[in-house]
Amino acid sequence: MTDPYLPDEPISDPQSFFGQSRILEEIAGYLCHNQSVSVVGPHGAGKTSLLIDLSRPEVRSRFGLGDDHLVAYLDCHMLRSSSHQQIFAQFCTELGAALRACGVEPESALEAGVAHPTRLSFESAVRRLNQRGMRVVLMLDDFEHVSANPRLELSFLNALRSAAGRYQLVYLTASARPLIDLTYFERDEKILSSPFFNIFVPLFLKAHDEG
Amino acid sequence: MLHQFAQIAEQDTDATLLLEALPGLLELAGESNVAHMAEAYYLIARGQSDPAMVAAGLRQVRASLISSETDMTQDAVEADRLYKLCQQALEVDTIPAITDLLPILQGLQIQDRPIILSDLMDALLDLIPAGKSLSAYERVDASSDRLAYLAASIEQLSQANRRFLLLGAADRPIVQVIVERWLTIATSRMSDLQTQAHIVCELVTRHAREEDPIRLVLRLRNIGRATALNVRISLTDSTGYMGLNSGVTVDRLVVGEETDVALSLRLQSMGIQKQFRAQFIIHYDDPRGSDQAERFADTVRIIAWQGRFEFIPNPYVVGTPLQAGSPLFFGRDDLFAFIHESLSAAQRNNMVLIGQRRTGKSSLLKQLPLRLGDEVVPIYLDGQGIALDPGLSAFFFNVAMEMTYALEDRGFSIEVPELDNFADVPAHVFERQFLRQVRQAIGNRHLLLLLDEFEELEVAVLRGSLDSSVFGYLRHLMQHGDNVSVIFCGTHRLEELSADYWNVLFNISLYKQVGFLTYLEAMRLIHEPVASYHMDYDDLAVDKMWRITAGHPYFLQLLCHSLVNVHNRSERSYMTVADVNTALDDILSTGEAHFLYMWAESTPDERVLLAALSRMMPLTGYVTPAQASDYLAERGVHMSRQVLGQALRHLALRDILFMRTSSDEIDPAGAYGWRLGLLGLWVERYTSLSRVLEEKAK
Repeated sequence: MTDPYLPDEPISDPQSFFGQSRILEEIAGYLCHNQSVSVVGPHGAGKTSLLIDLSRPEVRSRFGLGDDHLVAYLDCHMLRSSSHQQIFAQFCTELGAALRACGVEPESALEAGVAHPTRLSFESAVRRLNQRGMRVVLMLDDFEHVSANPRLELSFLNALRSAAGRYQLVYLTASARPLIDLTYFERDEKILSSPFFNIFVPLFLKAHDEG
Repeated sequence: MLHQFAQIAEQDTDATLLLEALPGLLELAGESNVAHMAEAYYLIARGQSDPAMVAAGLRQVRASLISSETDMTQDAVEADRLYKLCQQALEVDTIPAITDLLPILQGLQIQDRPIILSDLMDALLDLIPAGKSLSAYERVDASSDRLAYLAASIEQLSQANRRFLLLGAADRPIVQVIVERWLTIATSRMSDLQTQAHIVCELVTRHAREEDPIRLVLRLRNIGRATALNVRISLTDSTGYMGLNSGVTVDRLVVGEETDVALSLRLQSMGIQKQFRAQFIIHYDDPRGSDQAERFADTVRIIAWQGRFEFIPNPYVVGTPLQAGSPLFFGRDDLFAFIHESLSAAQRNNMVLIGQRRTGKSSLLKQLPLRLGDEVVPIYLDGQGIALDPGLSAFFFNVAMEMTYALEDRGFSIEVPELDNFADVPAHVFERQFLRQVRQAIGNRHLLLLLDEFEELEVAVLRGSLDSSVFGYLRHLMQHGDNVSVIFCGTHRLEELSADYWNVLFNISLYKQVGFLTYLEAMRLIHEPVASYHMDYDDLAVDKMWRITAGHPYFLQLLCHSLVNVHNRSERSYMTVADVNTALDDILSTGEAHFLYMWAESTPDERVLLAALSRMMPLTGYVTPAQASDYLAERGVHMSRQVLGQALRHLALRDILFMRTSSDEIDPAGAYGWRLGLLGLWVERYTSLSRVLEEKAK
């Protein structure tokens, strides 16, 4: 039998993942209102399980994130040394996969976003999805890998912030430390415009939240 | 004749002697009435420093006028009326008595000047400005205003007195003793004001739930010039209710201090009364003596229990800007009017909107398409988006694409630009090809570019991904573009930016500050989104929400969001101040990043001051720079006056504190209070002065 609390082993069976309803409900409530959320908790607190759980259609719909939400889960470990173009391409790839999983018509703008990855092509794809009545949810697990990616400048995070302000696009990040630490205190670059972290509602996961 | 003779009495020794002898001579000649008149003028002329003699002279001259002729001539009637007015002016003993005379004095202005006594009439008219100042004194509450009006009246009386020196001996003593009388009253009142406490009250709980007992909260504030000691507050008897406590005592209320006290009462006829008048009496001691008293009354409306709970899908949004037409967007009429007027001007002005973070600037820009009518085409551009890709080609291409999308959303069809077209001469292509297309599509409509997060252009230039020539191009577009204006929107003032880049743009733009919500706007944000669910707040709860957020859009929404959660969890439709306190604990935690950010953006000296102020003053208090300096010095921290003043001013510029102005009641100008009291609470809870000093030393 698998220990449901074993660190680094996401829980695959939703039935075994009890006790998180309140947190899922809270997160879903924010996402429904186009509000990005940052889940913060220590290593092994169940953040990954939480994100994966919420990415399941049956769980999502239970908490009000209906078919009008296109949800893509990304493990940011794979983005740890990507350029921002590669990351935009990955976003489009995952959203394309999510579309397929939902069994709905593919989106050519997503394919264009993979073929010619730029901020603009990614945003064009999100815009198209919005026009098709879909709100986009990007789940970015282990976000530390993005914030520590040496190839990314702060302007990339600013561009993500900007897109969330203009489209039906929300981020659900998971990290061991608060976003303000990762994207503000630990950056050397000059910051004049609004900081990335301030569009997020933080939810702090304590060890006992696991059960 | 006698009046004219008396007028010159002082200038001519013979005339003086004759005036003294005249009553006796006339009496001997059997002209008894004229003799009385002569004696009256003698009394007036000699009564320059003796009000009693002048008063006696006035009585006698009036008696002589009335008895001299059975049918008084018009001149005699006029003279009697003027002398009667003089008598009244001399007999006043209070400021209200003086102001009661003001309508009569003003009535003289529309009368024909009499042949005789015209100088006296002019002199009385000269008293009107002082009368008006005293009348204004009666209409204001703040001691500083009252003192200002008293000082003005004293100055006006003194000036009039100097002009009266030119009057004749039959008129001058009369108006001089009047002025002296009025001066005595005004200066005495001024002296009282400078040494007395003055307590004003406000009933915070003007709505009460139908419960027993009813708890009322009264807010007291000392706007006087002296400390009030042993302040006793009680409900006075009424037929509608019965007070349940004998009263509340506050040991002291220093100048400018505010405090809330709670008193309970029981209604005589519960369930029937819809409102009642709560009456309070406040006794206190001050330098004038013990047992000074102020009375206060206000109406309390009784609200029946709604009792009906309904789950509320939380409507409040705290992270992303409010989209066009959002039901959560309230107010900002002044900013819309500013934009509208600026665009209506002949030159279609460009604008710069500056405001602190999270004050709703982006939300404001997003409402413009619905607010500016069909003749203006606003296009939202975000510096954080368009400045990511390096190079001018990418920049102009990005701007063109954003504009294409925005125009498409508005129903205008534009050919989608190609990046390759912008490769060689991007600015030229943008203006000559792309903008020309835009112009054809929108016709005579005015193109309004809304550049949000404009600072990001400077950052892009500094990191080498954008050429600084972009600023010159923007200026060119603003000055020579065909029917185009730009609104720059950001957080930093010009002096905080690289002037080389922004000077050229801001110099040709109108500037406007984006502040917090007004009280009424904040009330709408608190009540309207949840009103259909019957969620309501008691007065104290709303008062506290306003006090700690001061209408800061982000923090107020955060608080409202948290309160809706409290509402849903507790399944109660009525929120009290206890619920606000619960929500407060929540947002001090969920909003932590924003507090940390504000803290991090403060200089080490500002942090020292914030830590000190969070312990020195409550939400409603004020601290002068000298008091802050003393507080720090007592703890071994020495901050120069200049550094301290600069730190306070900067905190006020960031809307964390605010500075009192000289016209703001009676505390010394330059005292500071919390504007964003919430940050003060956070600082008090999570920082300590010693820790801040340790960090500063590092």
